[in-house]
Amino acid sequence: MKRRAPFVSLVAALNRKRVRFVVIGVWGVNYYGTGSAHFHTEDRDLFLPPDPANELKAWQACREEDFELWCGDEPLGQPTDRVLAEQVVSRRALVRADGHGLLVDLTLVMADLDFADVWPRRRVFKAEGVNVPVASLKDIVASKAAVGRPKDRLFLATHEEALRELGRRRRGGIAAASPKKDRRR
Amino acid sequence: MDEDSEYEELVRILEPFRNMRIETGAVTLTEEYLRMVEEVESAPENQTGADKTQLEVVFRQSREHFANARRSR
Repeated sequence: MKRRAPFVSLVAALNRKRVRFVVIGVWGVNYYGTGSAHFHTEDRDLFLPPDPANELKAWQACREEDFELWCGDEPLGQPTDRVLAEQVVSRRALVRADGHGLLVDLTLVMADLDFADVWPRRRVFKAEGVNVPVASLKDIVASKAAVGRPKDRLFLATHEEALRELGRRRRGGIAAASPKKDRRR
Repeated sequence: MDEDSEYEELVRILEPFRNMRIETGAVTLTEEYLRMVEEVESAPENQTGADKTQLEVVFRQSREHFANARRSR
């Protein structure tokens, strides 16, 4: 049986534990793109609600899939229990899962958006048979615009151009669908 | 060109960019961009249940491509 991609395996583990999360960031945008509208990134950003029990289940899922957990520059403290999860959530601290060549950020912050607002607007896509909850494209773009770091600005400019190019190709695609063009393929 | 002179050349090339003022802070998105985002989001292939397995395949190919990149000169 073919092994799933590491990120998809992690999502499956999160789903088994009923962790609430949505994929955000550049990788989230990729679910809405095709071809030139795909962006290469080694990072995956998961947005979680400020719920210690949910956070703790997410950590357990990461460990089961052989990801190491980090908080800042240090390994996440031991024991990874409810008390630690409460501290992390109260500080809205970022926990990073590192494994299989991927960095997966478990974030409790998405600019000025609340998880409760983002959750109902999510899409649930399928990847290798696994349900992948992804924030709405509008929410992801809005969060990047609100934060406005240089890398967000660069991304937004690139994404806007990619969407424009996609539109041009779609319009061109209608013209290219003539029988003469088809024969040349 | 040895490594030291390559490094110096790189520093020289990057110098103007080091002095650039990089803007940060909230960005106002254009109406055109927001309309395109809306269009993409409402496309049939971007609705709940859509199969996006291909994304992982594209990512793996892209990763392999860059991992195999070799300096040609």
